Amino acid sequence: MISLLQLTNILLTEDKVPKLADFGLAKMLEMEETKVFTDVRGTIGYMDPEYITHSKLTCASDIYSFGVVALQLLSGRKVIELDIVARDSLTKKVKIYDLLYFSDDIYAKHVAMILQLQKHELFFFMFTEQGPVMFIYGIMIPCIISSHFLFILNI
Amino acid sequence: MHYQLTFSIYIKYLTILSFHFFYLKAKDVVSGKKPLEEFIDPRVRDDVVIEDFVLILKIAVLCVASSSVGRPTIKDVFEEMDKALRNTTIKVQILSSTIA
Repeated sequence: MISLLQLTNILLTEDKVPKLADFGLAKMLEMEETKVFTDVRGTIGYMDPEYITHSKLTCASDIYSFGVVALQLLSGRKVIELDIVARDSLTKKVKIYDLLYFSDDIYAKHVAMILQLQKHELFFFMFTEQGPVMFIYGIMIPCIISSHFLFILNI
Repeated sequence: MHYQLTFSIYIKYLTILSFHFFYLKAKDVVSGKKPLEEFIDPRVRDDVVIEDFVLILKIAVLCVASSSVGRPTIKDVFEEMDKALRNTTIKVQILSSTIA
């Protein structure tokens, strides 16, 4: 079992031969500061949902990670993008907007749209017709889920 | 410190959410509800054999099934991808010979 299969762990040689890189290397480069790692092994997004719920790691977990890598390669889009630094608010917004590119769901569009607004724009946005509803779906519910309201202050 | 923790939880939530939509899109493309153009990387659009691309896409969608029972084994994955590769190689050879 590899359990660490992800895009950032796959390196290419000069002849375009893919090689699996070790996780220890990533640690030495202090990548854990910019990545959101879980307390257990593995990165969010590449982790088997069964592993999250039952904490049971099997060979099927590797197949799952492989599927995530393959889907991203086929679409040419980095969906599991965790290089998001809280301080860098501009790139943060752009990247979150990218993350939600594939959604057809109106709720996710609300999240993406509100995250693109500035703080003072958000205030006037509340008085538009769609404003309050979108605010509830786009900000309130994610905040309740992430259990705090604080992050709005830093958008 | 507290703020960063909250933000990371929020990002985890967004990541899982966005991958969910990504997965739904891939599933719709495989089942034919949506056109392939909505999923395929535009940079490789003209260079791939579409049938083989869809074959690999199908395998990838099967791999990310939420239940481990539904996922194929690595042997199945290898066999299917090998089949796709051989198909593509043959088609490219035929194409290049007709041009020549």
